[in-house]
Amino acid sequence: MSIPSELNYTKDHEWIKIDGETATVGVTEHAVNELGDIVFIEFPEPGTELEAGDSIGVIESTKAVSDIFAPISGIVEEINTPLQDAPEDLASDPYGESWLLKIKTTAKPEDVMTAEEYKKYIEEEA
Amino acid sequence: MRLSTNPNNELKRTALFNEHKKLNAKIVPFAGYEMPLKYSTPEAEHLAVRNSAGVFDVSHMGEIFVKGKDALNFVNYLLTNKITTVKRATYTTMCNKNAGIVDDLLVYTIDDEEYLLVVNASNIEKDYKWIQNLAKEYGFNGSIINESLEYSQIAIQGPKSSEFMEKAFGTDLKNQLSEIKFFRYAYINIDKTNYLISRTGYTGEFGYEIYGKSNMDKIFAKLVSVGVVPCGLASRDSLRLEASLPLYGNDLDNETSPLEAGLDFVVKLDKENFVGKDILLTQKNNTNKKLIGFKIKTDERKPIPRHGYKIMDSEQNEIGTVSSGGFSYLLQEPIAMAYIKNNNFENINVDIRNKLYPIEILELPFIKKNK
Repeated sequence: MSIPSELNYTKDHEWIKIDGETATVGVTEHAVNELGDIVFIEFPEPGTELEAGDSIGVIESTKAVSDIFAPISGIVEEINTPLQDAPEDLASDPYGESWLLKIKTTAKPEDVMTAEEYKKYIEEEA
Repeated sequence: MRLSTNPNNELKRTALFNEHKKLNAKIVPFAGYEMPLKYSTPEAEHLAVRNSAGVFDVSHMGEIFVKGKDALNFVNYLLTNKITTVKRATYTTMCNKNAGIVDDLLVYTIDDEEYLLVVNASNIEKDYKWIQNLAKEYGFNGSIINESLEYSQIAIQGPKSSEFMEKAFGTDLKNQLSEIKFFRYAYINIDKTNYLISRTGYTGEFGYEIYGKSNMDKIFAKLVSVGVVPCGLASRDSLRLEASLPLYGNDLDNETSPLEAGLDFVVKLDKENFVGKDILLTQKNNTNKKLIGFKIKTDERKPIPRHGYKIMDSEQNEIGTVSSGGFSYLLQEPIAMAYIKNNNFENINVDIRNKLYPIEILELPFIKKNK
């Protein structure tokens, strides 16, 4: 189970990486495993204003619909459009090529875990 | 879903539970039982049933015996389909006085005076009470016995079912099985124990359902050992949806009549009086709603229309509700069934999380059945 140490993690199994004023957000490998076959992803529109904690989209697998939550406040800068046509690709590189969205923000992420803390968190959840 | 670790909890286990653990099944609560949801992936299990053979533990289902001199007349009063003394299985609904469906079930004619009703797991207690109450009303003096806890049930489904049954239990057994016609049954001996085996199933494929009181775990294990793929509840649902077989709780409930559900073939209006008959007579060619199948009209990726989602007409009026929806692994896209009020199916949409997707009505079944 991969949990890259340079990323931060939320309780909703999303990862976040900040580079200057851009936060890149995706879902973890653990989330992908739990979700099963992914058939559809609903993205927010670029330009949408987000508040941390907002439900901003959906990842749908054959078994369930899971909300994507904004881990940080800001404005949607970019969404990973190739994923719209091939949502199943989310499973192949969730920390790299299959990022979900980029948010323009100057906020600091609150309520996030380090890789170590996230590892413990998913062990306790099981 | 949480794996139950509390030995004192109220969830029951079937006689096959240890086999599921050995196979590392993901166990979930269902109808009061700890049941296998999947062993590998729902897709692999689904496709195994379509292309080879899969085996299901369906021991959670209920078995209620109705016995007595007047049993034939009583079951015909209880049920919408015509039950006869021919030794066979009959699919039917059981309605209330408003023609709403209490349950859908299989009835096995064991003998002129003995009938086995195989009912949905989630309805066992309800059905048992219902039948007992109706027996009082009708004046039935025979016995009604709930043997659900005594019986286990296994389903083997898929084009290679016979082959695998032969591999597991021998050519003699296979020859006996080949005598069983569709919806017929026979008592077959495996290792000194008698089992009732019928050519029935809930997947749209050729296969058998096996009923027994002992060594069913060994039968399950043997089938898996010769290559039958163990299949859980997830694939059971995706398979029955592709075959457009209704699910009680989703497509059928006590506010829906069998005629609305498209189950005309299990309603024999020329039969003597049965519960719900008078209302059903008024619904002939005149139902308030109708069950249809559909898919979303687009070449792009689409979400799955799920139970409860609304169907809207071109003027944003709500005209229906999705009863069952899921992903079809054969068609590689979402499929769904819905009850719709209108007869006009032009330019209608399904509302998925406040976005409207145009839909195309499909003829049922979604896929051609190979039983």
